[in-house]
Amino acid sequence: MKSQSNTMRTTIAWLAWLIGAGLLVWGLFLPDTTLWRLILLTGLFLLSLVPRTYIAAWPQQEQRTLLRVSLVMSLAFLAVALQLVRGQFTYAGPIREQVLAYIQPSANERPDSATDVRLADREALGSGKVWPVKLEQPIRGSISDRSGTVLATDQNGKRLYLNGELAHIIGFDSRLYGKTGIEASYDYYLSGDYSISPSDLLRARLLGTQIPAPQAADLQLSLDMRIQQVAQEALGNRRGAVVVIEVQTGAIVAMVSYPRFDANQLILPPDASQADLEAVQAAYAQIIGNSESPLLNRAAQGRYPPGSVIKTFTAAAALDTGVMASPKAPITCPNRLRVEENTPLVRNSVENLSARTGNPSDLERVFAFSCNTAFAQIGLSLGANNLLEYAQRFGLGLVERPLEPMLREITTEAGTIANEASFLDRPAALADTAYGQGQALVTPLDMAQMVALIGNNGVMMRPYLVERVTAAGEILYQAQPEALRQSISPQAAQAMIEVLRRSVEIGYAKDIALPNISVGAKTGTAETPSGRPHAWFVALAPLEQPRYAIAVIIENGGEGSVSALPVAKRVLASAFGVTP
Amino acid sequence: MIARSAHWALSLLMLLLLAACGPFAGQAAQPTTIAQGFQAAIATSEARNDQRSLAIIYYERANYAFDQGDFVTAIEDFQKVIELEPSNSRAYNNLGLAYAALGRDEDAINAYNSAIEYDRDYVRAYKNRLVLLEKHKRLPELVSSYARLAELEPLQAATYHYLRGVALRSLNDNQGARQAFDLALAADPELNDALYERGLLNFAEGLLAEAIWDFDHALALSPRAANVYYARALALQSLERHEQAIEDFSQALILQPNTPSYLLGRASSWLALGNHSEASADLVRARAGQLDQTLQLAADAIERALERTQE
Repeated sequence: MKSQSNTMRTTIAWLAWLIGAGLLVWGLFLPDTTLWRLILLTGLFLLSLVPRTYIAAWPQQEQRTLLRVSLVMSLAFLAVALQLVRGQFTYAGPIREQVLAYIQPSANERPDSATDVRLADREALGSGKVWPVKLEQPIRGSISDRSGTVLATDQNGKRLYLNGELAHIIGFDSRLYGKTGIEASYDYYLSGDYSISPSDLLRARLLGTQIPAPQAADLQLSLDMRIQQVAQEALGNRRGAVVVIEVQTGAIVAMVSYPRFDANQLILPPDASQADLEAVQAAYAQIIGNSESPLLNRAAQGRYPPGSVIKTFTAAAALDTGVMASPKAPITCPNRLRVEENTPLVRNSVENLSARTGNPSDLERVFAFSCNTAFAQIGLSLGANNLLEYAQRFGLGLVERPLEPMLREITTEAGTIANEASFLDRPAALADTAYGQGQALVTPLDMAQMVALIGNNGVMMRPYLVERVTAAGEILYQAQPEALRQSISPQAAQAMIEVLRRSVEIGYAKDIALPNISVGAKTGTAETPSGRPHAWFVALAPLEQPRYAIAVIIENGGEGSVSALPVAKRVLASAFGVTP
Repeated sequence: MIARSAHWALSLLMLLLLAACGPFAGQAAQPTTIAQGFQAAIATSEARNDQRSLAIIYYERANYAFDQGDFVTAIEDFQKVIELEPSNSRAYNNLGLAYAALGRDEDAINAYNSAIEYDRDYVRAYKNRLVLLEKHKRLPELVSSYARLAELEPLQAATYHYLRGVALRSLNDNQGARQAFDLALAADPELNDALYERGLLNFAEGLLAEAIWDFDHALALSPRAANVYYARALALQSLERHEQAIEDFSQALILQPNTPSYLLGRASSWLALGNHSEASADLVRARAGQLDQTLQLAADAIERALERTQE
């Protein structure tokens, strides 16, 4: 009975084995992978029935266990083998097609956006994008005189100087030769650069935000074109300069230098042709090749021997120190004066000057008639230290130790009283310097300043040319009168006004007299190594309440009273609206 | 007997396994042999007029040519695949890669576009196209690509939203950018790049407190990120908090010394505080470095301001 049962079980097992094997063979050719997996599992199960039947009948328990493990492993191997057979042979085509569909050549894989760097170690975040900022170039600001008369503007992208005579002050804005004068010193405003904020730029670069377009500002100069025009005409075609300063503020109302040049010649149009370029280059070559140096602004840069106008400085120092107690303080005016052995005698420009000054004379009279010997004595009385001290107070330094020019807006030279301090240690040099010889070199601006401080209670103001800067109705800059120093006491200044007045009333400067305007003045005639002397003239008016100080120089003009004085007279008459 | 049978059965199975693995374990075939093999396979498929097989063989040969650096042949074969199977998105994708390898970026982008047209979920084609779109800064297309990839790869969604935000910022679509950064941060609150970029966006829109909040949090995650200190310093500068701005500029300079933009930023704050010597020192250091045009303008502006103060 048991034997029959075993035979039956074995027969069924072998039958199942056959079915399983058939299923597996059939499944190898099925395209459906899921069905294949089902068949694989079923087939393997059916195949396992035969060995299991034999293992169940195995006598030794330990070996049965071992055989069962072997059976499981064998079935697993068989499963893998059948799967590989299906993939490699019977189902190779569809599988290959499926794999190929996902194949991409290995090159040019996009790198992953994620970074491997730890968050805490990141040295920069974000895209790192920066936004370049392009600034629009505004139309350059205009320049006008104190009454609003436009002097420089932009026309069709080209700088236009409506008064070509002002190049020494306004300068030029040339694409070829750069910027000079006010165009250079106030380029910050004229170009609109002032309106550019570095913080705005940095923010716009980081954020891509818009920043306001730069806004050019307009300048209003202290110049009074009415007086400037008259000064230009009065000087005419003579080499020299005229400076007129508003006494109480330091505002320069006229500054003329001749020879001049027309800045328009140096300006290229925006779409310049080769011919334009060559024309500008030729004009520039002509200007710089001119032996009379038209580029030199003689009013602020021309350093001349002062001649007798320096006596104004000497007299002021003498009054302020007490060396001369008052304008009426006595002093002699000998024909000759020996100051130092083995040096030339000090002489007056005319013989028997004492006949005019009186003998003994006083400060007013020796000043009015420009007595060299008297001022040589005053200089010696002052001494080198005082002379140097007052020179500094008047803005005059030493060549070895120059002072900073007082006018900052255009290129300016500061005057000097001597080359080095030790020069004045010699009595003859000290005496010479006091009356206008020696090594002193001064600009017309220095001399105008010298007179202006006398008219301003002894206070020297900083000279300036730009009165105001405005943009869209807003005042960006307003010149504030700046007192540089109290050069002499108000009492000494008042005394000097009397000295200057008398110089016009009785002295060489009497021809400057204007109707209803009290003028104080001093003539000067500065010797030159060759040729005629330079003619100087300085004046202050009106003396009751001084308003303008003027200095005139005419190179090789001869006597100051003859050539320079009429220029000053015409300018002052125009300034005060009187007929000379 | 049974043990012996089991032994033989196992041996047979091993043989079957070896037979199955044989082609993989063999030595790599020589190129000439491979080319000949492709040619033979093509001839066979043509003889059978089996279009599908032919397309597959051309596809395989094109990939092989590509890997050999023969992009011209690869392009020809991919085009043949496309002639045989006009909607084969994989062939279009790989054709794009071959064009890109030859520098024919426009053709490559068109090929990727076709690949995407026939398979809207084809991530690789999107990514391959991104390479070129990013290279050529084709922002509108980038924006849509990032958006689609954020859908297709949810695990990378934060990054793609962030990148989309950056692209939208470049397009001056601040509202879109803000939404993208917010989505990025919703997906990954620690995506500090998005925090920083959102901070910049807030800054640009004048929302300074919000901007500083974003920068603060970005710095909490990445305290060595110099450019975040710089951005926060500029924001503080906008609030006239120059002392704090200088602290941040200085911290940025400790991390990345002599960076011109940081130096110029600090110089402008020194200038605002009236410390001209420090401003001047920073300006000199900045000028010693490489300045782009905008930084040059900023340096000039600081220099002019310093000159004016010295007058």
